Amino acid sequence: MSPVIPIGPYHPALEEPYNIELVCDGEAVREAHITVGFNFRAIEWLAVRKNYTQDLALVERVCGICSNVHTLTFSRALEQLAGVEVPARAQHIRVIVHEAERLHSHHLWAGVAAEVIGFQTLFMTCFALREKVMDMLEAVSDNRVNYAMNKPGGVTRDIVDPGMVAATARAIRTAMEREIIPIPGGEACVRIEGPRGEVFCYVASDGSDVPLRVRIRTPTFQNMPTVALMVRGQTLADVPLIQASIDPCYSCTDR
Amino acid sequence: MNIATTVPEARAESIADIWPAADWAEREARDHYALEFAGRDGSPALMLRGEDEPGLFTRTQELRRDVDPADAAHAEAPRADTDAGGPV
Repeated sequence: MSPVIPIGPYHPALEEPYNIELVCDGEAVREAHITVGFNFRAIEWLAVRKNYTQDLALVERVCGICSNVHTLTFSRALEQLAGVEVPARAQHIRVIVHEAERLHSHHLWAGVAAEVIGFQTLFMTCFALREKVMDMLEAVSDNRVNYAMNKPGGVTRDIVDPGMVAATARAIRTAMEREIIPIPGGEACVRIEGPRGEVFCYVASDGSDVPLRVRIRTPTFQNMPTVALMVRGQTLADVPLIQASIDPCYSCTDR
Repeated sequence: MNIATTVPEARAESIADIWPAADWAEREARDHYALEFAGRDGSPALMLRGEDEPGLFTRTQELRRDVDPADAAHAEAPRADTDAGGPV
């Protein structure tokens, strides 16, 4: 009988809970079975019980690393429904924050991959570089994780000094907060390339302030099943790096 | 490409045998909406667990906003320290 090696859902080698069962022939992996859902928070369930303003804060919490992309897709879906144009300056700010998020997410992925193969020096270097990006994002948004930078129609904060990328203009922010965009009935689909892959967001509205349906498809949801195929025929020792290569996020997958 | 469609009953043909990437999407649709895909009756839930009934979103559609979804999601009795009501 082939030995079956279960890893997870709670295991020292895993950053987040999931389970992978490896059926082995000696050192070779013959088959892998993946179980997810240990972090299921029913975010899509909650989203149809809260208004759009509350949902913006909710969808930001889909992911603990790439939070910005979820408010960006959600805001763009609402803009599509309302037929709202985003001012050029707000679009520039969105790009800066989104690309900074991509940068720190990739540093995290590269660092974790280096650690998995035992290259601690590269891990430290990657995380030290990532810290610079995190500091910049903190200077822009006052937050290291949930930046709360996007809102339907634009951004919540201005970046007033491009040299320092710091400080917010309180007067502009107050003016921005007062503006509420009515969301008419209809449906909207938005796709954005997030740090880990394509994020898809669908919003259906009946014209009230609470959505009828919010659907968020995250990158790892689509990427993770491929790991079961990628590990087939590989050695057991390579499994951690193979699964780390897609930079899996179970907070996103389970929502 | 976006495709919008309706099904007369909560049942549809599975495409997971042709397009394996649809596997998780079909299992999640069953978890959320009790949508059954022909030919895959034995496939396990994706987000739900054990004895949980499929169709979490449809069977809890009428629940109040202040009810904790954790109490409605799973088959076992609600936590003793809440008065949020039993499983639905």
